[in-house]
Amino acid sequence: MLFEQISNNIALNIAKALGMDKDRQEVIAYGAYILLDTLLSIGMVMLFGAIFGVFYQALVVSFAAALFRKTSGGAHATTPVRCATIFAIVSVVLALIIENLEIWFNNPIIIIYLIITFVISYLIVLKLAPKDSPNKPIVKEAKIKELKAKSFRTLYIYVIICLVILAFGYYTRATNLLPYIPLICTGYLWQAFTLTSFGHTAISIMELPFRYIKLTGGENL
Amino acid sequence: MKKFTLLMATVGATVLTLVATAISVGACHWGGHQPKEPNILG
Repeated sequence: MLFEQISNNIALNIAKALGMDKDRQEVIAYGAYILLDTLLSIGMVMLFGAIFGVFYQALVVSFAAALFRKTSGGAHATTPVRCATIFAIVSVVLALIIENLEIWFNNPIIIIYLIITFVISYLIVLKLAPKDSPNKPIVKEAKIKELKAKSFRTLYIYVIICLVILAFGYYTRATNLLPYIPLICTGYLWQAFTLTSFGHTAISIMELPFRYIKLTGGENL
Repeated sequence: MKKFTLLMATVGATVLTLVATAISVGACHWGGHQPKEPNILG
């Protein structure tokens, strides 16, 4: 609600200054809303990541998931604050898990993990992407095909990035970049998971505690 | 002052329209909450 008010105010002021019509004002309000929501999401990931000592790792997981999400869609929280908080908590928890398992990651295990996560994500995308939402239904067949193809392309790009990091680490004997591979894989695997019905249920369950948090005006957070 | 306000409004309108248009071609945006898309972008 707060986000809507702020973005509508921004759009109203801009439209007034430039003498724009209602349609253009709506587009600017939408852009402002998206920008604020994105900044909040990244800010939350940075904050939680810094608190738990996995700043860069959480950012890698969140960027991997978010860029994949742009074309594949996925499960949605009902308000921007809930969405940003859930997204940040998931990114940090996944980053912490990978951080703690890091000693077990050697080249063969990383390659196996990369293959497994790629195959699972590929099959989910093949079957379920793009996953639309009531606020943005995707009905045109051409658009569905285009987004599915882009989702596959994003997945291939991730795998190429992981292979480049792996090859670079192998030839230069530099091991400090290798932990980023499981982080990228985990990011896109989580995003693929949110396309499934289990993913939707998981997001709904994670949203439950927010029902008990009320703002001063009596509104839900 | 009026010139500056006009400049800021123009820059703001350009940036926000670009953001809105860039997001409209995808299935989703960054986090998890998807706001309703304006009909003109649909």
